[in-house]
Amino acid sequence: MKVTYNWLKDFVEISLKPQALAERLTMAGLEVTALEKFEDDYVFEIEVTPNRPDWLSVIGIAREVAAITGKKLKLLRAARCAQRTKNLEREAWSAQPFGIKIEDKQACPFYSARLIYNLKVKPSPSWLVKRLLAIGLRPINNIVDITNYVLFTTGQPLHVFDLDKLKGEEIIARFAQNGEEIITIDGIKRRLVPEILLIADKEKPLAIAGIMGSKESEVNAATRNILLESAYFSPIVTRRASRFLNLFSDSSYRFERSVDKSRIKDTSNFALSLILENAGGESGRLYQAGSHKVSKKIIILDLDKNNKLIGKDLSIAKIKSIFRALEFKIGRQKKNILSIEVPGLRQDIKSEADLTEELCRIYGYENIPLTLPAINPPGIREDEVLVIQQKIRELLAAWGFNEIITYSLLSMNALRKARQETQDAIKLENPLSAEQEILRPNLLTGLLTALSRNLELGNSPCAFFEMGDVFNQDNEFKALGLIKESCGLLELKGKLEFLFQSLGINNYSFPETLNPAFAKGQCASILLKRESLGLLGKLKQEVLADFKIDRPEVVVIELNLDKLKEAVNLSKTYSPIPKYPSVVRDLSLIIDEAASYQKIVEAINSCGLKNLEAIRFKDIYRSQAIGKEKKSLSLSLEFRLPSTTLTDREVNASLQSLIQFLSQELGASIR
Amino acid sequence: MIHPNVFANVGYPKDRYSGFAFGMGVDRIAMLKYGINDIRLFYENDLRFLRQF
Repeated sequence: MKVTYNWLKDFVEISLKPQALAERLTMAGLEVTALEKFEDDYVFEIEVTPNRPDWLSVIGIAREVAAITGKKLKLLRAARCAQRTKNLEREAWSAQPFGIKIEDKQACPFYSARLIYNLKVKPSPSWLVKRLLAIGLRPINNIVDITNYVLFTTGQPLHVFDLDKLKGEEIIARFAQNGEEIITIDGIKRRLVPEILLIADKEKPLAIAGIMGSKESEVNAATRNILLESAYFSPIVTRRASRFLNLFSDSSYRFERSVDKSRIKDTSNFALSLILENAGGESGRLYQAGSHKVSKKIIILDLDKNNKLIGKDLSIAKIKSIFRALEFKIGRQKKNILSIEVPGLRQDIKSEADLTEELCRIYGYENIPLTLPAINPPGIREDEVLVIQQKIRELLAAWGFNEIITYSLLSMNALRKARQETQDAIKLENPLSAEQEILRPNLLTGLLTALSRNLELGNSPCAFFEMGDVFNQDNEFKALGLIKESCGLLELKGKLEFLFQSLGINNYSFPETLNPAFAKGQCASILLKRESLGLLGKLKQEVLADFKIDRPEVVVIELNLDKLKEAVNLSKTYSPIPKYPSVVRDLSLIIDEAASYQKIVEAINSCGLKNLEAIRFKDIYRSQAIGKEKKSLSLSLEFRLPSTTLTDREVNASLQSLIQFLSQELGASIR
Repeated sequence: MIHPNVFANVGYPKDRYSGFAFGMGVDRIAMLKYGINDIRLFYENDLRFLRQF
C-alpha cells in the first residue's frame, strides 16, 4: 500500500517529519518498507498484513496516525457533502425509471448506483494527476482517475459504466452462465463459469463483479452519462473468481479482504461531489438494493486484567481516548469493566486480548517500562536426553568425528540411491522442490550426501555423525548416525561397544542381518536384549558409486536414540577389589570359519564355569595348514574365585571341561 | 503474549493464566559470536567449516 505525506495531511494534522512518522508507524505495526521523495511530497510504502484491510486506504492509515499522535481525524469531504447531495440531485433526472436486481444476497449484499448526466470527460486536474503518479498509477481521464483516487483514499472500490451503453433500465447482479464470455477493459476475452458473479444489463455482462469492467461499457472521451457503482461483494466470491480467471486488480484486492459496508454510500457521494466539481454534469438519484447494515459486535474489557497484561496502568481516560481515535464506540462502564463496540471494518478484533493489543500498539510498545518478570523459576533439572547426547558428542568428537546437521527433508531420488524403502516415506503435500519432497526416514541418506560433498571438495579423511529426528508413518524419533571413510567394520563395532559401556549399557549383541545398502556378511543388527535399535555395516560399492564416493571402505552406524536412552544407566556402584590373585590361561581354538566370535563367547559362557571371570580376544589366524573354511582363534581366559586362591589343578580341570564342551558344541579343536 | 485460545486448546482453565513466550535462533547468535556471514554454512557440512569449531 502506497500513501503520500500530503495525502495523509488531507485527513490528519501531522507535525512529525516523514522519517519520524515512518518510524512511529512501523512501531505500531504498519511496517514502512520504503520512504521516497516525490516532487514536493513523500511516498510511504507500507506492508499491510492480510488481517488489516482497513489499512488499504489513505483514511485508514490517517486514522492510525491520528490515534498514535493524539490528533483528530478530519471528516471525509463526502461526509460533509452527504447532506448536500440531496440538493445536487436534479429533479428532471431523478424521475428516470431505473432498478437494481440482486439475484444472490450472499454474493452481493448491497449495491448502489448513482446516475450522472451531461458530464464532460477530459484530462484530470494537475493535483489529481500528481497524487496518482506519486503512488504509481497512470492517469487516464477525470472520471476514471476520480474512481481510482476515491478507491485509494477510502478503500472502497468504485466502478463507472457508460450509461448509454446499457440496454434497459435495470442493472442485475447475477452469476454467469456456463460458456458466457466477456471482453474486459484490458482487451482480453474471458470465458466465464457459474461461480463468477457478474454485473449485467438485461442483455450482456457489464463487469466481473468487484474485479474488472467490460471494454464495451467503459467510459471514454465520448461518454456523456454514467452509472457510478459502489457496492459490497463477498470476499469469498471475489477471491474465487479472481483465482479462477487469474485476474487481480486494486479492486479485487480490497473486496477479497472485505470493505467497510457501512461507508459505501458515503464513498459514492464523495465521488459524486468530485465528479460534479471536475467534470460538470448533473446528478440523478442514488438507486440501491440490499442492506448495508453491519451487525454490532461488543466485547467486554476487564481493565484490571488488561493493565496486568500490558504491565502498565493506563488511565481510563487514556484507554477511552485510544479506542475513540480508532473509531470503537465506548459503551457502559461498570467499575472496571468496560463494554466496547468494534467498528464493522475491524474484523481482526475477535476477543478481549485483541483489544489489549490495540491499546499496547497505540500507547506504544516502546512506552511500556521494562521490568524483569517476578517469577519463581522451578528448579532446573538436567534433561536426560541432552545429557546422553552430550556424552555421545564428546566421545565421538574425541575420536575425530565431526558433528553435522543435515536437512530433515530429502528427495525421493536420494533415498532410492541409498537403497532404502521409499514406499513408507512421508511425502509433503506441497513441496517447494524435488530436493525436499519427503521427511527423512533415516540419517543414512543425509550422511552419504555430506560425505560425498566433502570428498568432492577434497576434504579427507571424513568421519561424521548426526543426531536428529527421523520420521516414519507411525512416529518420529531421535536417531544417531555415524559415517566414516577408510575404516573397517570391526573398528567401528569396537567404538560402538566402547560407547555402550560408557553409557552403562550391557546386554547388547550384533547378529548378522541384511540390508540393501550394505555388503553381504558386513551388516549387523544392534540388539539390546531382543529389541533392535538399528544397524551397523559396511556400505555396498554400488551405493558408494551412486553417491560418487570413491573409497573402498565406508562404514555406518544408525540407531534409535530414544530407545537407547531407555537402557542408559549412568549410576555406578563400587564393587570390592579382589583379594585373591587370578590365573590367566591362553586358549587357541581351531574352529569353523562360520562360527562368529559372538557365538563362541556365548558358548563359553553357557558352559557354566563358576571360576571364569573374563574372556578376552587375542588373535585370529588363518593358513592353509589349518585348512580351508577354518580359522584359529586365540583367547585369553582369566580365572578367579572370590574366597580363595585357585590352584593349578582346579584351573586345568576347568579348562579341560571347557575344551570338551566346545568340541561337542562347535566342533572346535585345540591347536 | 500467549493467545487465550492456545491455553483453551491445551485445557487450561479460562482466565487463570497468562504467558509470555519468546525464542531466538541459535544459529543467528553463533553468527554474531563467530563472525559468520552466511547462515547456509551451518547446513552445508563442509569439513573446512566444521573443523574451525
